[in-house]
Amino acid sequence: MLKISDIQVVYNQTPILDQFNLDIAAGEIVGILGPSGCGKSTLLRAIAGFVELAKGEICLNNACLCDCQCFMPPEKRGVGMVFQDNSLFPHLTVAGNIAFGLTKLNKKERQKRVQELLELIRLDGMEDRYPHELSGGQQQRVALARALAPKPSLILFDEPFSSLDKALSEHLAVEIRELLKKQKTAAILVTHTQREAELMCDRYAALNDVYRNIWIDTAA
Amino acid sequence: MKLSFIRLSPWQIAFWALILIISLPLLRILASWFEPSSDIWLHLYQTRLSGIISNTLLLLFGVAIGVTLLGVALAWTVSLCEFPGRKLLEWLLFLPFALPAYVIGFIYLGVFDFPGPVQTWLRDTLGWAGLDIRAYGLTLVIVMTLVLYPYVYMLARTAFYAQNSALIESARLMGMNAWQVFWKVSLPLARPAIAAGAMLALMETLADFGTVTLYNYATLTSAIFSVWEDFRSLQVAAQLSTLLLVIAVLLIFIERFSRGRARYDSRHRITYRPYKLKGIVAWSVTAAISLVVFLAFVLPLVQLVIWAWQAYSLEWDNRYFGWMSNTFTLAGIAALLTVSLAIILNAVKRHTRLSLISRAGLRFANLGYALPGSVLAVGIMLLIIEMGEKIAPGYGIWLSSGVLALLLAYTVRFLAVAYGPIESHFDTITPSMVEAARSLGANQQQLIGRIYLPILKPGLIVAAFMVAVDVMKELPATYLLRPYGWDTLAIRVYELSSEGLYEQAALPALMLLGLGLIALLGVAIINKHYQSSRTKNPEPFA
Repeated sequence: MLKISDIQVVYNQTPILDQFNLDIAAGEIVGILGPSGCGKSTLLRAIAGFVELAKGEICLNNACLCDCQCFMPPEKRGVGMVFQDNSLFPHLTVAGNIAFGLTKLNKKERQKRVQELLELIRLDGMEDRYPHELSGGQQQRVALARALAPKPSLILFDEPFSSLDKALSEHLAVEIRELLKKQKTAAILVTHTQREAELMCDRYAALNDVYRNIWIDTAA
Repeated sequence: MKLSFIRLSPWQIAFWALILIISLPLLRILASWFEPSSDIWLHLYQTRLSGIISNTLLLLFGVAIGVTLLGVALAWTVSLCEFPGRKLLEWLLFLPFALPAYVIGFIYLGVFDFPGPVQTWLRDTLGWAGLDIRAYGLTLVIVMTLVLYPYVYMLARTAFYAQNSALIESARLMGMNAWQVFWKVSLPLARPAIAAGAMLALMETLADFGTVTLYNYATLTSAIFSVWEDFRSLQVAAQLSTLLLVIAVLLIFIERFSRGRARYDSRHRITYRPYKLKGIVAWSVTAAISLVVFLAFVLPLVQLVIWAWQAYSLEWDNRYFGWMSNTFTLAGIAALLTVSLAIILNAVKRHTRLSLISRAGLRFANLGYALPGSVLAVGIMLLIIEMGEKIAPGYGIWLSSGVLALLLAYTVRFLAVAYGPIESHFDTITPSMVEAARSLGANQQQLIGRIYLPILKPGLIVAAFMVAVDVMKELPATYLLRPYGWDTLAIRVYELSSEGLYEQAALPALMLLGLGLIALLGVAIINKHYQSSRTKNPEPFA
C-alpha cells in the first residue's frame, strides 16, 4: 500500500536519509526505533509532505505522492499524523478538533462521525471540553481520533507517548493498536522505546536495520 | 498568501520596506547634525540648554523614584497580602491607565493651585499664605507618578504572582519576616519586571509635552516645541531631538543592564496569599491603598464631572461631533495599520529563518515606542517637506501637515504596542498545530481562516484597543502634524487647559476618559475570557 523507493532527504547539505526503502501492507502497523536525530522523524515528515525529496519516490495506494518532479502538498495526501504533544487546536473543543478534517461531510454526517470516534476513544461526554482541560493521555487519544476521522489509509505517529509516563504510554500503545486494527488503518510508529513498538506494532526495526531489511515480528 | 512556505518573497520585501519606512524619520533626525549649526542653536546653547537638560533629568529621576516606590509597594501588597477590599482595590489600581497625564495635570492645578478651592479654604480659615505648587516641579513629579505608576504596578504584580509559593514558605521557615521576604525573595525575582515597568513610565515622561507645558517646566520635549513655534526652525528642533534620543537610548541600556541575565520565569504561580493581615494593620493598608485610588482616579473623575456639568452649556456645540469623528477616524485607521503591520512582521519572523540583520531590523522597528512623539513628528516633517519640495516645489510644508504624516507617526510610535500581544498569541501556535491542520486537508486559505485568525483574534482585538487608546490620548505628534482644522479631543483639552479654562477643558477630557475606560474594560474582559478558557496558567489581569 505504501511504497517508499530509494529516497534521499537532504538537510543543510547533509543527507539524512539515503537510498531508503520501505513497503507497508494495508492495515499493517510498523515501528521504527532509533535515538533522536537519526532521521526517523524526517522519514515521517517526508511521507506527510513537510519535507521534499532529493531522490526517489513515495507512493500511497498506487498514487505517486512525490518524486523528483512532482510534489503533492500535505493537505492533498490524505495521510494522518499524530505528534508528540501540543498539536491540538487550543481554540476548538474536543469535538471541534476531531471534526477539523471532516469538511467534505454535511453537518449531520459530521456529528455522527465525531460521536463514533468519541465512543471509540472512550471520551464520549467530553466533546465540549477544551484541550487544556484534558489529561495528557486524553489529549493524545483526541489527537488520534482527529487523525482517524477522515478515514486515512495511513497514520504517522511521531513519538506520540514521549510526554506521558511509562505505565500510561504502554497502556495507550495497546489501546491504539486495537483502534487501528478495528479501523483497518495502516500506521508507522516512530519511537525510541522498544517496549512501545513491541506493544503497538506488527513488526519493528531500528532505523539502521530498516536499510538491511531486518525486522522483528511481534507476538501481538 | 503563502504563510508557511515564505522564503525570500514578497513578504521579505514587504518586511524590509516596512522597516525602512519606520526608520526613515529617525535617520533623518540623526542626519541633522551634518548640517551647519545655526545662530538659534548657539543662542540656545549659551542660554537655556543646560537648564533644560537638568530639568529633564531631574524630572526623570523624580518620576523613576516615585513610580518604582509606589508601583512596587502596591503590587507586593495586593499580590501577597490579604486585607479588606483587596479584590476591588487590586482592580481599581489599574484605572489611572485611562487618564492622560495632561488631564490629571490640569485637574491638580485647578484644585490645588493658588486660586483653587483647597488653597482658598486654607487662606480663609487658617490665614495660610499659600504657595506656588508649580515651583520646583514637585507637584509635576507627584502628578506624573500618579498617572504612570500603573506600568510598574502591572508588571511587578505579574512578577510577584509568578513566584513559587515554596520559595516563600522556605524563607519563612528559615525565620524571615514579611519585610525580609520582600527584600530577599520577591524583589530580586521581580527586578527585571520592575525595571521594564519603570522604563515604560520614564519613556512616557520623556515624551510628555502637555503636562510639562501646563506646569511651565521646560524640558527637552517642550523646548522642541518652542523652537518650532517661536523660530520655525526644524533643524534645531531635530538637533534637540537627538539629545532626547540619547536619553531614551541610555534608559534602554540601563534597563537591559539592570535586568542582567535574569529572565522572566512564568512556570510558577503563587497558590495562596501568605500574609493574612488583621485588625488595625489590615484596615490601614486598605485606607492607604484607597487613598492612592482616590488621588489618582476618584478625585480627578469627580472634579471632571463637576466641571463638565458646570461648563456643559458653555462649551458644548456642534464642533464636538467633528472633533469626535476626527479622534475616532485617526484612532481607528492607526489601529488597523499597526495591527496589520504587526501581523506581517510577526508572520515573517515566524516563517522565515531570519538572518542576524533581519532580527536587528525587527528589534529596531519595535524601538518606536522609545521615540517621543515630538521627535518623530520633527523627523517626519523634515522628510516630507524635503521630499515634497522635490516633487511639488512650494507645497512641501502643506504636505507635511497631513493625515498621512500623522498616521505614519502613530504607526512608528505604537507599532510595539500592537506587536507585543500579537506576538504572544503567535507563540501559542506550535508548528505541529500547523502541520496537523495541513495533514487534515487545510490549504493555505483555510489555515489562515481556521487556525491563525481564530487563535490570534483575542491578541488582535487587544492590540487594536491599546493602540486606539494611545492614539486618542497622544498629544505631541498630533499637535505638530495635524492638518489645519483637524482638531481632536486631545487637542481641545490641551488648548483649553493651557489657557486655564479648566471647567471647559473638563468636557472633552471626560469624553477621552470615558473612551479610555471603555477600551480598558474591553481589554480586561477579553483577557479574562480567553485566558481562563484556554491557558493553564491564566495571567492576572492585563
